[in-house]
Parts: sequence; structure tokens; C-alpha cells
Amino acid sequence: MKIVILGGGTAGWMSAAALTRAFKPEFCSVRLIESDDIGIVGVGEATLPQVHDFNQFLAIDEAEFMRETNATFKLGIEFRDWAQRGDSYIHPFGVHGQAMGGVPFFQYWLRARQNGHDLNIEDYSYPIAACRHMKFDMPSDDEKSIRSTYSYAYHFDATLYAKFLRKWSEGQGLKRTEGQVVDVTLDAESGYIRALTLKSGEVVEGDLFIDCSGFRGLLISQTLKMGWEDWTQWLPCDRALAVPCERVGDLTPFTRATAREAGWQWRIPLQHRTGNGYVFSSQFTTEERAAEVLLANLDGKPLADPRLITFQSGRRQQSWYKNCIAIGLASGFLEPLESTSIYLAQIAASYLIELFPGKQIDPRISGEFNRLVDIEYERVRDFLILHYHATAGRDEPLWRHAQSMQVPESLVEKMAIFKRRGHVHRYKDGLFSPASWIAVYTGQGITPVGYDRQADNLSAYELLARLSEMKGRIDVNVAAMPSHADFVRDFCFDAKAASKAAMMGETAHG
Amino acid sequence: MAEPKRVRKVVVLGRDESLWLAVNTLERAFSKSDIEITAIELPSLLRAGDVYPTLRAQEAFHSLMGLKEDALMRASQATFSLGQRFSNWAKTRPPFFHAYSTYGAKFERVQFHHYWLKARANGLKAEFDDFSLSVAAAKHGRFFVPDEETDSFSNNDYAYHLGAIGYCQVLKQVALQRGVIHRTGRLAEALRAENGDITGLLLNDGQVVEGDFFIDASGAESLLLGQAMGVGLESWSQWFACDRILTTYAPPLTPLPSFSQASAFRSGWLGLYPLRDRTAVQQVYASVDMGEQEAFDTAGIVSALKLHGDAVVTPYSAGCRTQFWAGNCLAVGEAAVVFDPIDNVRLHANLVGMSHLISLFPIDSDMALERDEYNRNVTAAVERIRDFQICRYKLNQRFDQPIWDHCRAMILPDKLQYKLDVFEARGMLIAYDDETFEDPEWIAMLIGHGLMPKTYDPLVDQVNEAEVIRRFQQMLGFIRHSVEKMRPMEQHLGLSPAAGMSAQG
Repeated sequence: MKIVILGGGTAGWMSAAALTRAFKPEFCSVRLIESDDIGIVGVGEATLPQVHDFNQFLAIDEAEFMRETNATFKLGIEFRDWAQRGDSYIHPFGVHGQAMGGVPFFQYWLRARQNGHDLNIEDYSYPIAACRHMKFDMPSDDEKSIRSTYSYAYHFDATLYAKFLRKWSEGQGLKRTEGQVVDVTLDAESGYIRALTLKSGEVVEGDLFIDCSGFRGLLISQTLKMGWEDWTQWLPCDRALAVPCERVGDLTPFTRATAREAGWQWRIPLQHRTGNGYVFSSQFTTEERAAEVLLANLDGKPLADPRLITFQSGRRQQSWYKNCIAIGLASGFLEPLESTSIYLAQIAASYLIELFPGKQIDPRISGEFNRLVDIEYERVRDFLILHYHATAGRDEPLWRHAQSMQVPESLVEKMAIFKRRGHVHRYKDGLFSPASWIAVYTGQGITPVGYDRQADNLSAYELLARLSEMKGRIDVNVAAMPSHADFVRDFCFDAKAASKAAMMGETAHG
Repeated sequence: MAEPKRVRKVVVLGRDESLWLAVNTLERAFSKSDIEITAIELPSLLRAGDVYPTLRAQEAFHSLMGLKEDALMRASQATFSLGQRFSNWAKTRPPFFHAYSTYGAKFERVQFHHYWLKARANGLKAEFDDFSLSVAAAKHGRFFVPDEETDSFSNNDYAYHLGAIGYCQVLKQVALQRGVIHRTGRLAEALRAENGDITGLLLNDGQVVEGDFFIDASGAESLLLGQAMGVGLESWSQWFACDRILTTYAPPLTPLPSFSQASAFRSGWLGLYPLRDRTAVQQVYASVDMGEQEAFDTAGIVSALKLHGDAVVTPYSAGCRTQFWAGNCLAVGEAAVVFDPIDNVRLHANLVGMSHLISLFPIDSDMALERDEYNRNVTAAVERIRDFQICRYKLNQRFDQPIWDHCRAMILPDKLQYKLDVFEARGMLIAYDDETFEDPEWIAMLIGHGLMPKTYDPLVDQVNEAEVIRRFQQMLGFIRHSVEKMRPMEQHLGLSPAAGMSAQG
């Protein structure tokens, strides 16, 4: 089998690395074609905990990876000014408290609150407390410990991550070709892609083509004409301006997403700088105004001119069509509000490995891939819509539009039963566990009016005692954590490089 | 509109397992809250030979309820079950075991069954179920409680065969000890409010039991949800041809097998469930194909046991209510859904219904949102169980027998057809939301009945044959070695060893 990957962005190199790791070279060869002329859209710098599994699959050394990509740790996302100006909540990679007698902790909090105790939900989440105190440590394996109630992800430079994966893949024997595709040859009978012709005249044949060429979808769209499903009706943002700035102040162990007049602004802390961007809707603001808003809201001096990225939220009608599989932006786009782009590329690559076809592609296999990918995109879509929709205290036109728009039925049902009693039904496939839904609902002002009656199983005194004990345990444990900045510095310390540098110094002196 | 009224009084009307599972579950979840639980017990329909074969989740339920396994099993003459043995479901394939375990062990990131499929295509003689520790134990007349060593190879669980009368007595006793209000009687009429909700139950002694929320645990009669509320029935007869159960029993088997059996024959199948004091027998068949007298005769022949004289035949019809919760009335167990007896889901169906109710127990009389959410999720859970059962019949290979030919030809529900298509294409098992049966159980069931995938995960080809053989031998060696150390069921139950068996077995 010959696999050809077109495009060397994050999606391209993640696919390349995953396939190289999964398959022995005699079983299947992987080749990647990228053009140095075509820029990489590096918006996905904040990740989800699943990226950790991906790196482990490649047996990547975590400290080395962090050094080479200027990475920092991430425990969640802080959302500012969403339900109304002045608000702040954190969606953590973890649960609130710990279940008691099989009943979710959240339900006990709801009961206390409805009995008149104005307790802050954030006080009962270990990862949130760590975020608020700018701390970080590795989670514990001991399930009983409060320190096991979270996981973590990274912030990194996506361009450097792609480079890192390129080095890794080439080290495993992957063949990379620099070049631009000028022609695609299709099989006259089956319509399968047979070969790509490069500008150099080289013809690259393959059995399976992975389209990681980004928004334009050179193979899946331009060649195979597979359509696109537009989700702008729910997710109206279609532009982003991105700009790095100097790093100033504390190294936050979280991403920040601040609602603005016509979209929202991200802030992603890296070791050496801070990444920023303003995702906005061209229906509701101008590029000039957006640049003004962005530049007025940076921690430190901008390190470049803002770069414009245009996009449309939606997904490819079929990501796998004939012998072409679109991964990354060629397959779909959802704004980085919940840091899902790298995850979506990762999960597509992993489904592809799980459903790897023979040379004769059974349509049941590609159909199943598409079903799974569709579920992933739809789950994220609904979750993002919730962020836009539940913004009762914002009155700018974009937010008014989002508050009044018709949201998908699947989300209407979820919101209704949550509002009623904080109930979240766990689903099997796709992102976002009940804990995530709870964090965003409550953070955006959807607070249940009732609670699960199992939470009545404690006396009022016992309930408050347990809540206070939980908070106490969190406070004590968080106090003992190192700061995020210290942890990153120590974790990334390269003893070998340091001693080499010291030796060089000695030699120079001697 | 009137202020919504807080739900404080829940009344459970029913009998047998549905009644007592429901009240125990409620009691456990809400004992310290302001919810008052009243059980109205209808006359039992249980008979001496009745058995509840369970799924593996039952053990977790008992420990959640704080029920002691030993005492519970003694009172219900219960035995442990490592799985089910299916014989004669295919004329050309040997009997197979469907254990409550995983089969083989994953290696090089690929699930075991893919290696087995390839090896089998290349002439391997070992059957799929040879790679289950539980199957090996069952075949050798042994039982074991999983420990660290067995867990290192595979997940192994067990289920029970519970004597129905004894089991219900234990559940009832526990519920009463824990303070559930108990009445006996028969229902004369369900009293209704203007909006259709039930306000109280008029019993045949003239007393009225009022309540805010009513649970119908009356069994297939569905006295409240079906009869009073008028919620209709959706028939599943297009997928389940059988409509009669013959119930009886035979003397106990010695030594006690650690599994149940389902043997197919011309008009249905016969199930044998070992208990300590007897062997429960259920023959499930299609009345269009066999009369009652013939059914009695056949049961003796197929079981090859000396059956007790007073066998009874009960009609049933697989299907479910179009809603499980209507107004302020919710049905559990057979009042909500009558499953085909295959795969022993009767008790489990009650637990599914109750566990969803516990987390959605209505706050007040304004319960439309809970109802919608409950109906949505429980419908999905029920359909996934039903789909699993349909496969048993659909995949039969008993050719030239009308009932079985009919089953092979039936059109499947879309989601199930899709699942089988993808499995057949490449041995990949799709799991939907709200599945009861986990992937390994589906895979063992499908392969057991002979649905062999056309291809396997190509990653298998990356592992050289010598390595695969070495791994297979290692697994079979581990199984052999482990089973040698296991003891017969009698020893686990504290019974004297069966005649002719030494302590070493």
C-alpha cells in the first residue's frame, strides 16, 4: 500500500506521524508532499488532553517535546465576559469535586445553593483552583485523591509542533517531498485518484490519498468535488486576526477566551511569547475595527502585524470519498473556542488507522469513518453554539443574533433538562463529558432550578460539612503545588544540554 | 395554572421481581429524603420452578443495595454462571459458549479476534471460545472468582441463576426491614385527575392509596401504564417468532454446571438453568409450529431430563409500550417491555428502567422534561438490548425449518443492520449510546453464531506468524494452567462435593 499525504501543516504531520507509527514500512509506505510556498494556518495552539495520548502513541519524550515547541501546560480555558461583561469562569479538564455515594458532586452543590448557600462552584474544582493560583503539577494515579480529578493538555507553537513531528517522522523513514501539485490523475473508470503530478514534473502514485491541504481541499473539494455543509447560521464568525505579543506577568496554566463586541479573543501562553487572536464575524464588524480591538487588548508589545485568516464554519459532506480522506481543515472547520482543531485531526487519523482499508475500499468502511467523524464534528458544534447562545447579558448585535437564533434540536433538549435539574446524559462517541457541559452551562448563567433528589440523602448539616471538607482538601493540596512557571522551567530543564554548555564554557576558559 | 406539587408519595403497584427491585432501588436512593415509598403487592405469579437467570451486572447491583451475596444465594438456591452454552443453533457448527468474559488478549494494539479470524482462515483448528478462561472453566465443570492473576489475562465476570421465589422473598424482606410501607391487594381502579394523571389507586378492599407518582410494576398486564393510562403496545413479533414459554423443572444436576444452556430445536429453543435444589427448564417456542401437547413431549426429549409433571405453558408477546412514562405514571419490567427470554435480560430490564428513573426522579408534578428525557434514553437502551437478542434468531443456521428460515429472512432494524454490515466488512464492532452489552459480548455472540467478517484489521498482517502462534500458545497455556487450579462450583457454594468428585476434582 502506498499512502500519499498532501499538505504539511499540523494535520498533515500528525497524520504522517500516526500512520508511520502504526504501519511497518514493508506493509505500507507513507509519503508526504508539502510546498514551502504555502503558509501554515497555525491557529490551533491550544490543545485538549487527548494530544497527550497521541504523543504517547509516538513514544515522544514529553520534556523534549515541550522544549522544542515552547510548550506550557493547560488545565482548562478561562472564559471572560461571556454571559455578561465582568464574568469569568473556567472550563477545566476535570470534574467538580468527587461523587458521593454515586451521586455527582455537582448535585450536592445545587442543593446547597437552592437552600440559600451562595457557594462558588469553582471552589470545588481542583483544576480550577490550580488555574486561579497559576499552579501546575502532574495528576495523581490514586483514584481516591482529589489530585486525580483532572487531566492536562498543552499550549504550543503549532508550527514548531509540525516541525517536531516532521523530524520524528523522517527519523522513522518517512519520505517528504517538497513540491506543488499541478495536476491530479483520476482513474477513468472508478474515479479514484491515481497520481499527483508535481511542478517538478514528478508523478507521485498512490493507493490512498490523505488531503491535508487545508481549507481549499485540493483533492477532496477541487478534484473530487465533494460538497461542504455550512454552519454559519449557528457559528457566524468567519475571520480571525492573529498576533503574537511579548510575554508579561504570570504564566497562566490555561487558555483565555474573552468575548468581544463581534466575536472573541484568544490568549495562549507559550514559554517565550503569548499568542493572541480575535475571531470575529464580518457581518458584525470590520477588519480595521477588529485590529483595533485586538491590539488594544494585548498583555505586552505586539511582535508582528496582525495576520488575517478567513474561514467558514462547517464540515465536508463526506470526509472520506473514494480513495481520498480529508483530515484537518479540508475536512471541517470549527473555531478554536474549545481548542478542538488538533483533536479533530488526531481523532480522524486514529479512526483511519482503526478502519484502514485494503486496496479495494469497501464502502462500508469509508461510510463508518464518515459516520464517526460526523459525530465528532456535531458534538463540538453543539457545544460551541451553547457558548454563543447562552449570553443573556450581552447586547451587541452579534450576541443578540446568537441569543435569538434557532439552535439544533439536539441542543434544545439538552439545555431544557439541564435547566430543570442539572441533568446531563452521558453519550458514548465524541467530545465533552458531563463535567464539561456542567462547567459551561453554569459558567454562562444557565443554573438549574431543581436538583437530583438523591442529593437529599445527606442532612443539611452533613451536606455543608462535606462541601466545606471538599474545599478544604482542594485548598491544602493546591497550596502545596508548584507554580506553573516553576514547574515548566524545571520540567523542561535539559541536563544534557546544560552540562554540555558548561563544558564548552570551561573549554573556552581553559 | 396551579402551582406544581412536590412529589413526596411514590406508590409502586406490582408483584414479584419488578415490585421488589423497584422498591429496593428507590429505598436505597431516597431513604433519607422526604420521599415516602408504598408498595402495593399483587398476588404473585411465580411457580416453584421459576428462575431468574441474570446478566453479569447483577452482582454490582447487589453490592450497591448492600445485599450479602452468600445469604442471598442460599435463600434463592442460586448458582453462579460463567456463561451460556448454545447448541444446535447451526446444523453445521459445533455448540459454543458465550461467556461473561473477554476472549483472548489484545496485542500489538489489535484486538484478539482479528488475529483469530486470520488464523482461522489459514486453517487454525482452535475455536474462538477456546480463548476464554471462563469457557474453559465452564467446560471443565469449574467455577472461579476473578482475581489479579485472571484479570491480567482477561476480564471475567459471572452472573447468577436465582430461584425466583426465594430471591423475591429476600428482596421483600429487605425492603420491609428498611421501612417501605407495604400493602397487599388487587387493583379495582386507578383514580384520575382532569389532566389524566393518576391521583390514587382504589383497591378491591375499598381503600384508596393516594400518591404523587405511580410506578407500574405489575408485569405484562401493565395495569397502570397500559390499562389505566392507555399507552399502547409496539409489537416486535416481526423479529421474535416465539410466543410461548413452557416452564417446569427437573432434579438438580450433579455436579452443578457453571453455565446455562440454550438448545435450539425445530420450533424454538430449550433453556436449562441449574439451581441447587433443581434444574429450571424453560422451553421457548412458536405456537404456529407446535401445539401444547407436543411441547410437553419435546421438552422431555430435548432436555433429556426427567421433568416434573406440572409444566405450564404461558403465552407472551415480545414488544414494548410506546412510552414508558406517561403523565405521572412510569412502568418498569414487563409492564414496560416484554423481552424475549433469550439472553436472560428480564431482571436487567428492571434495573435499566430504575437506574434511569433514580437520576431523573421527578421533583414536582410538572415532570414533562424528565419524562421526555427518560423516554428518549430508555427507548434507546431497550432497543439496543432487543437488537442483541434479534441476532440470535437472525443468525441461526438451521436450514429448511419454517420458523428458522423465517428468522433468517427477517428484515432487521436499521441500526442493527448497519452494525452487522460493518462487522461483516471488517470485524469492527460499533457501539451505540446506551448499550447494555459491551463490545466483547457482541463480538463473541456474532462469531459464535457464525457471522464471520470478510476481512480483518490489516494491522494483523504486520505481526509475523511465528509471533502470533507463540502468543496463541501462551494464552491457551495460561488458560489450561489456570483451570487446573480451579475448584468445582459446589466448593464455592459451601456444598458437599458432588458424588464421584474428589476435592482436587
